[in-house]
Amino acid sequence: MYPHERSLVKKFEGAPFAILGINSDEDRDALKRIVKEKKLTWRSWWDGGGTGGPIATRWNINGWPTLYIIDHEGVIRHRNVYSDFDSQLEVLVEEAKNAAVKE
Amino acid sequence: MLKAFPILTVLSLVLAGCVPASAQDPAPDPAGGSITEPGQDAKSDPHRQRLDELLAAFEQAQSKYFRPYMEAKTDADRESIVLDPAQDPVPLFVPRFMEFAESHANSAAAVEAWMWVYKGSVRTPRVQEHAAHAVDIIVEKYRDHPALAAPLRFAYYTGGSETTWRLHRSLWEKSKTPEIRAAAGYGLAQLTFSGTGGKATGPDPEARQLLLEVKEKFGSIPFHGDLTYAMKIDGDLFEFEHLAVGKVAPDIIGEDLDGQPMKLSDYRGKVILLDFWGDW
Repeated sequence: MYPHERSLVKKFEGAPFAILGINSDEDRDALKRIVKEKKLTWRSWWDGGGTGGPIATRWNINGWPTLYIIDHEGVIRHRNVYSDFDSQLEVLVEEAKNAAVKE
Repeated sequence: MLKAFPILTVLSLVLAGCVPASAQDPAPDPAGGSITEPGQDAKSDPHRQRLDELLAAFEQAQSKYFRPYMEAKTDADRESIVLDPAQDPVPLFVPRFMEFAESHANSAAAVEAWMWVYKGSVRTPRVQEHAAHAVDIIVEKYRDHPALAAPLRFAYYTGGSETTWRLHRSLWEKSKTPEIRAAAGYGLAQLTFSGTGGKATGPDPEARQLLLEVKEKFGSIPFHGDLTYAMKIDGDLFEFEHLAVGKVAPDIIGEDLDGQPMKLSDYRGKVILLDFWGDW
């Protein structure tokens, strides 16, 4: 997962795209070390230290990782994607760019 | 990114789900037929141990069979793998689990073994008739057995075959044990959703009605850990209404790992890959 995410950050550098994590680890300090060591440059919410955190519970998450793709208008466009979703992201990033030009 | 892992994880979860940590195997009832109460020390029970040994042997065979997937480094490598169905451990182990279940009839271990036969064979074309047989036995002999509740809870993961439907529908209609009816009714609702195109298209009215009925009758029964059926069903209904494709994502307001405020709606204008993750 991490290498793929790092590649997406690189691929969409400067484009209207962001990875946002919701983290369900238990030890916040250990996690912060991992984030630094593994060079995870995207932001994550801290979900209270476990899989039963408020955000994961609200989003009815049963398995990790679970991925959602949300477009520039905040609409859920894909869910439970696992791999090979780069092309879907490309389409949506183009939509976001076109919308920005119109405004 | 790993492609085969989610599938394998679900499969092993389903198979491992046959043996809940809390499962206990009471001594066989000399009168036969009636249900014995759980409560003995599971570890001291010889049936339990034999079933555990059988499961361990199966898991070993399975990890050997799937090893090429585990060792593959790229998606392309993984796609090129062709496994020999003749080496699939499921058909080899199904008769062993059946034999175990028959020779330990009326025990909790037998219930689990029959559920294993069902889950193992329902998706393996060559041995599918054993799944149907296991369902016959489970519904006829074990529909009220307390040991059935735990392995039944995630049986809907095995997907929409007629055998899976029959297992859930029969137990929902015929069982007298609340925990079993809760699991059967909940699973039936989940099957109805997947049968009508899945959660992405929103809740099927019939499935929704069923979920509300399970919540009303069995809401206080634990689903998983501290989560009750009522909590689980509330979460599902929220998901259907607000987390489907085409819906505006609910805002997420909280703090990041450093304690700084963080809000999903601040990122409007950007495409977001939202990743629920943990470093485990």
